[in-house]
Amino acid sequence: MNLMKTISTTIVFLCFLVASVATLGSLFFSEVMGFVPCSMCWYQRIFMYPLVLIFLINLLYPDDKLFKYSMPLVATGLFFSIYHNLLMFDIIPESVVPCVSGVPCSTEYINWFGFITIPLLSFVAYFMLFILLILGNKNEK
Amino acid sequence: MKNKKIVVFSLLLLVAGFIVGIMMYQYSVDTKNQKMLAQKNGAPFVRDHSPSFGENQNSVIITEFLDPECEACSAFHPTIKEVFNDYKIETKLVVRYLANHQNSKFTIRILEAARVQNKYNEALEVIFKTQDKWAQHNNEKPELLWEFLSKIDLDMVKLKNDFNNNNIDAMLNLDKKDAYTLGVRGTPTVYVNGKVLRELSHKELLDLVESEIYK
Repeated sequence: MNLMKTISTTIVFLCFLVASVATLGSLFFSEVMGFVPCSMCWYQRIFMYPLVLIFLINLLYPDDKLFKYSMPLVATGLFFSIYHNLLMFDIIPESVVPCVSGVPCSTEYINWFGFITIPLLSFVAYFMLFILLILGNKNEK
Repeated sequence: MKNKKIVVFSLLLLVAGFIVGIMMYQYSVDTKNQKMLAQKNGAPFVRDHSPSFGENQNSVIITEFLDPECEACSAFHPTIKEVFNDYKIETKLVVRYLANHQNSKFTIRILEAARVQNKYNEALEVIFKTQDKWAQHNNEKPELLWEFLSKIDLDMVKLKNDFNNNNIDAMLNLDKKDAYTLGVRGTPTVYVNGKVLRELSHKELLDLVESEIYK
């Protein structure tokens, strides 16, 4: 195993935790609390959910290709979450967004401590994954 | 190998945390709802304008949010009717509206007109039983209901007259507002003394009603 170029297990494990908490958290908001996800949220979910399994499989059967497989998903999700947060902060006007599912993407379901919204949580998760993967890739053994 | 154990353990921990979270959330919602039910004269579960049935000797209030054009409401209707008929002395059934479909309001106005003649349940029965005929998707023909309803013992002239003159906007708005307060998003949504029915099945409903009656 040491001969392979692998991202350190600790970092992959942290990535796994971040992706799992984000996935379970989003499921909690939609399935338990009954918040209807807007279309932006769906795009971010689409790129977050597979990461849980990708990190999990890599933890159980490590290989040296994790960065290649996970980064495209993380980067795409990060892009959507940045866009969504710009919407929430009114930097991009809502009318530009193709939102058809009935829930405007600027709907604020939660607001903890005056600034924590669901899109912000999503951004934090994607950003942490992004940084962790870059760090892990740099320091790969 | 040690790593794999940690991974599996944390996976289990995450799932367990999720389930505990669900239970805590549901418990807190139930508690909040029961407090509301006790405080404000039953609101937002009960309103004076709503059709209600039963003698309520055991103070068990069943609140059903329904839409006459909703297929799930039609499918669930026989169940709620059966359970309520067994316990109509002990409980009170309150019907609240959520007009989510194109002809919901039209149909609710018919229902309210039938209520004037004390034929509410009979009319609701007909509306649900013939739903596949008048509420076909993309081919709705709510006017067929007049013919279907003429087969039960209703004064049709009075029914049409009451239909034309009733104004249910205030009622629908308040029902909608209460649904929003409670977080009701779909129909049918059933509450028994503020506790939400989590699964639309005969057994779950019966268990919930009986647990409130015999507590």
